[in-house]
Amino acid sequence: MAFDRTRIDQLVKPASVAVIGASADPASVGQGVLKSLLYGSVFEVGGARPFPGKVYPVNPHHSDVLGKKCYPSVHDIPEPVDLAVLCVPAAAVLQVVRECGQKKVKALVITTAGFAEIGAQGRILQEQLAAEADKFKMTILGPNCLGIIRPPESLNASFALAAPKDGDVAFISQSGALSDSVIDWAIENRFKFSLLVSVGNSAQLDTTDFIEWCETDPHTKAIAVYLEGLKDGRRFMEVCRRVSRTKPIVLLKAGRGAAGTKSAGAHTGSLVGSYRVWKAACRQCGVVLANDFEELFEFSGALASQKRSTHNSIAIITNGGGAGVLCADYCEENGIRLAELTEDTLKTLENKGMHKAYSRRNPLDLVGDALPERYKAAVDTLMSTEYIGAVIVIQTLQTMTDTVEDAKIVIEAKKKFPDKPICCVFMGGSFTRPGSKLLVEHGIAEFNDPRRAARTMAAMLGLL
Amino acid sequence: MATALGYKQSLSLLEAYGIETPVQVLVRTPEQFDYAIADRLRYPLVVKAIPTDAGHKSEKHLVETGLRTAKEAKQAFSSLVQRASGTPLECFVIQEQVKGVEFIVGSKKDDVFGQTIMFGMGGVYVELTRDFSVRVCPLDTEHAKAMLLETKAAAFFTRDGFRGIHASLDATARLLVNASKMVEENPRIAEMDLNPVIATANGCYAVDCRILLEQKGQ
Repeated sequence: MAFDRTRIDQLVKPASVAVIGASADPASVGQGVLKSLLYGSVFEVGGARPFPGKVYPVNPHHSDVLGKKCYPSVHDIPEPVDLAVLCVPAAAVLQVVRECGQKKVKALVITTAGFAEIGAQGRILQEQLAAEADKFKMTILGPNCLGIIRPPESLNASFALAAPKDGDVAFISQSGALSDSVIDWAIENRFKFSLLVSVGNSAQLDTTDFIEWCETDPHTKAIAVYLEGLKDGRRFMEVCRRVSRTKPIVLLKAGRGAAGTKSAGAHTGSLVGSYRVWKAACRQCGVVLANDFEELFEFSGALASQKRSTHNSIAIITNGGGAGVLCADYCEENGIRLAELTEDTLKTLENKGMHKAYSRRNPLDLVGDALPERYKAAVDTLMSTEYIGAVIVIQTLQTMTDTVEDAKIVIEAKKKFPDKPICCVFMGGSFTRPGSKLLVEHGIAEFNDPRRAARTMAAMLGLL
Repeated sequence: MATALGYKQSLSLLEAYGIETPVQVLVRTPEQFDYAIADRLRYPLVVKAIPTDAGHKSEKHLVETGLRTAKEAKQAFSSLVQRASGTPLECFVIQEQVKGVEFIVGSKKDDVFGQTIMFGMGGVYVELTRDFSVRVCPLDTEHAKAMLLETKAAAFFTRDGFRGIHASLDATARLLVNASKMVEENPRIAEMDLNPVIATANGCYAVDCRILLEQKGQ
């Protein structure tokens, strides 16, 4: 079936939402979803906003839940319902899907577990509910999912404990439980999202559909995907090849072991494991592969805020020799090439004021006592040098280091040269935090560790 | 489960896709053998016994290489006949020996992505070195070349070659593209090994092949 983006529009931009299975039990999914809609999140978080549209709790056993009038069934709701979130037991789902269809609900989020993930019987039930929804042309997300969060529309149709802030990264996850932890962690680590969706068992909409939808979503600048598996690899490649031209896609793929390497005995069969194929496929369709969750969000965050480049020739600026050499090692491991500084470049640097003992080569060691002026001379010179495609700025903490001023220099240079990727390693703790915070606020990736900076740079240079 | 495609059928499939193989003759009897080597083939020769189950031939010692004269070839043949006794055979193959660099080209049908193609260094040692590259099919010439150059085999494709041994990048890439086209257009192929593939300064030949088909109804 050809992709129809209005299906996902219906999930993302409803005017009214019914919570079926809304419950008075604070430990229930039904109450979690209702709280998310009414207050913005289950737990109080700064910035969480209530859903601006209508919210209808549905449960035959209650007359009201959390102070809202509760309806015995969707049929009893006097107004039209765009989206229904199902929090009812698996055995009741099919009946509720039918009722929603009759009510002309446009889209369903089915949080309930106990379908294809439990085996053959569950698979049959899942096929039945998908067929029922198709009959009424309803969109389904799930079953067995956490729900969907769309910060720009103030929609939190999930039972996630907290709600992420408005950002420009869409996170598409096959795991619901992981999404929940990720949101909590993301808030702590200043990551923000344009969309957060847990696709669950994908009875109808799958990961590829959401990637395709993000292509023209004005709020999304980069796409982060957590994936365990999918059915149609060729379609995934075709969609990603097109989408990744305008919106970077970063993937964390679970299941990297040799499992699945069934072979009938030929060499190739035993050599080519499924993760090797995933790596090849990603490379062929421009998807960046992350090794872990930190990378997934670091890469997608950096790619959302900065332009990618294919000019693989970078400069490292540092005020500490060791950090520079380490960073150069990590760059080499990840296929990043260090530019060789020409005599002309060195002359320009010296005219602007270098320490007598500065390194005269890449990594450019400004020497430990470097004040912001020397950083400015180095950053401005190297960012404006044509044969240098990107820059990593390292700052170790010395007595005279002015971390906020150094950060401002990088931010200014980034504005002047928006096509050149730049990332920073401001090493330290509470003393460097004001500088690193400022960088992150201005969309510049900052790390406490040269290895992670090199990895992110490799992602921005299309090397991963 | 999969079944092996016979050697003769495999060869015609390779031919249909423009995958070059060494000059070779398939024989079943000593009379046919004598006739074949009489004057039609250029020495040195290779003689192989092809079992119907298409296992790894060198492991079963069913290959004799570097045969320089008709006498050597006949000796090799009779010793093969002896060693192969008890093994059901499809045929014997007499090949003109190609001198060059040994590679492996293979394919595997992946559950998610379908046909994939693999290129690696060095015939039988690939399981040891694990130096190989993989792509999802189909493949164009540019990507095929990138695949060749990302393995250690890259050294052989430079102008000077490795220690003076040069392999043709164009011919090897062409074989890779053709093999990719072959498996892509024949989705019943579950796995394929062209092992070894031997590249010379101006050609590239599939010296041995093993093609496994999905059982019908799978």
